[in-house]
Amino acid sequence: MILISLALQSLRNRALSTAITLFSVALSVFLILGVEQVRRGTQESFSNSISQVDIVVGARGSEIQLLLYSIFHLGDATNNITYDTYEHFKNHPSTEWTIPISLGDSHEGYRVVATDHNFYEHYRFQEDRAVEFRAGRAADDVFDVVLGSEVAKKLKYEIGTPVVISHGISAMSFQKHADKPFKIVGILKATGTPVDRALYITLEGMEAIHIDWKDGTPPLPGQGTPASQIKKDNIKIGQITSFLLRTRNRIAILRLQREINDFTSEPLMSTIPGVALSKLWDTLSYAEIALRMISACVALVSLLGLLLVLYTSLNERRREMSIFRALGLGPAKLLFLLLSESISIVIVGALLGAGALYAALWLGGPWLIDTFGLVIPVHAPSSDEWGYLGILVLASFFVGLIPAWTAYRRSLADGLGVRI
Amino acid sequence: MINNEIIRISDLRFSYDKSSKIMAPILAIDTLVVKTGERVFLQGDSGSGKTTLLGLLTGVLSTSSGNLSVLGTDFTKASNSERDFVRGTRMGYIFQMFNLIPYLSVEQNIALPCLLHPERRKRLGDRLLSDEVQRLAVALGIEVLLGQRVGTLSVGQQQRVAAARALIGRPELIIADEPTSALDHGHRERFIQLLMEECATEKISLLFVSHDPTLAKHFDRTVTMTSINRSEV
Repeated sequence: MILISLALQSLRNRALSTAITLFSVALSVFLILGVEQVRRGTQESFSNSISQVDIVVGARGSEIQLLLYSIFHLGDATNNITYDTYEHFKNHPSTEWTIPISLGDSHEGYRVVATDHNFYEHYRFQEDRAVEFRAGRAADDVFDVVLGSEVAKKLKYEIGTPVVISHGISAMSFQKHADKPFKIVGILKATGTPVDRALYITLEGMEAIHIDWKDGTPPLPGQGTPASQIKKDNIKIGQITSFLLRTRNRIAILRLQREINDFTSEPLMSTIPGVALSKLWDTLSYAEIALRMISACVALVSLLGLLLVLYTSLNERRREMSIFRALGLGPAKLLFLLLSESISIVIVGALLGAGALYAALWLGGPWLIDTFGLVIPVHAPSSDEWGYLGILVLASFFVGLIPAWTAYRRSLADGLGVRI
Repeated sequence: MINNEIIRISDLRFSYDKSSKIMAPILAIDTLVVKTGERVFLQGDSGSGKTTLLGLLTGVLSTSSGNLSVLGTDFTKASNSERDFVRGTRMGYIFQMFNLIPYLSVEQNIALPCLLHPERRKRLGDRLLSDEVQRLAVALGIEVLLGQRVGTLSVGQQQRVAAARALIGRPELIIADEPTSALDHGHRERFIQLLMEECATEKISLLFVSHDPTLAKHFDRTVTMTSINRSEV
């Protein structure tokens, strides 16, 4: 213990070089664990966002894109599908339920999702959790809107607050459906999924705010149909963006998927969420590898820094080594003393890096949700992450062995007679 | 220990280049004996083999040629760790200068031998280590410096701290390698006097090495390197 205490006091005596080395070790651990935590958290967050949906159906394009815009409100749809097609598959004998999704508008940067009662009834996340209301009820009337928990919290909206929807999904949209304001009738409980960051209206509501629009252009002021004259029963839904489908029997999934993909009335595409997510992770794995390589490089640089700091201090510490020899410390204990220094730096650096990462995940969680829609759960390090830390400590042992061995050899040569 | 001899050397030959049998040894001592409680002044010029002899006496250097017994241990047969143990637990060593560990306080520097070797601490008996540090500091006039960093001390103060560190744990032998060469006349006399007093009080044998013959008057006897080293190198 006294040797470890001496090693720590020696490091404290060289505070600046120790601090710089500690920082570089902490940075490498921050990056190594950070990449893993974000990777694991992202996958978990995505996987938890949707359950019990067998197939997602939309216009033909990319499977990953279809999944991203339908479930995670990321990116745009390339095309819509007709409501007749939706009804065809909704009433298919293999279908248990469907959830229609119509996208394209937003409010204060949050996506507006037009759907129907099936969403409130059938949507599941984290295995079998249904969406629940914190206040109010489901959207039913044309201009009813239900808020995700975070939308209500961030915008400080309550039941009854009027909401004007913007055309398009940009947070800075200049085209607003100001003549047809919605009224908040419900606020959902937090789910930790993209549901929290969206507003939910009826399919009829989405059609209503685009009545009189021609080729993406709104009617001239005063020429549009007033909101008061729009009745739900008179609205015919023409198209939606995509829909989620649950089959009656899991065996039917592949057959139904083939039927959807071969549908002749219009080009459709379907994907199984788990399959699309796997493809997404495969696509992102290149970025993961790149990030891991960067982390490994930072770790390598920090170890080289450690080597440099210990090695350059050896000459000025020859007298110190001689004193320890005079006090009866054998060369093996000197080796241990110097190794204790390098290993202490790495262990303390690793603790600092891990602490900083967990603090960053905890403090930066809301920012990640706001900016990327990512809910990164904070987990204790996995066995892989402990493995990386173990490798780092082991590497520091071998790195520390180089100056320690040099000191050992010098102490044998110097004995008590060093003159500096 | 035979006849209260704390050091016994006979027919000692030492060369750094062990592979060369034809090369003359740099140290060739027929006999040298230091008795328990004796205070011996070992005088020799630079290059006379003083440092090599001290390396052998402390067990930092090893030889298998001749006989070398220190504190009753045959250093020609003892392992490295056995010699380290004898040095750490039963000896005190004072360097010429730069004697202290720079990142420890004066108090920690003095206590270090007992902290590194529990056996040395046991030699204090019932006395607390902190009490012994305090006692030595008072005896050497450095009690006000105990909490200070060693970098703030003068050379004279540093040498007294080094003496306290060598004395702690009642070693049987202190070896001092030119400890006064960096001190002016007044400090040198005072330092030797303090060292002598403590060695006498604690019945510690002293081997004091210096090139300065004027210091010889303080010691029981003087041994010159030229008289004991028959090496022709």
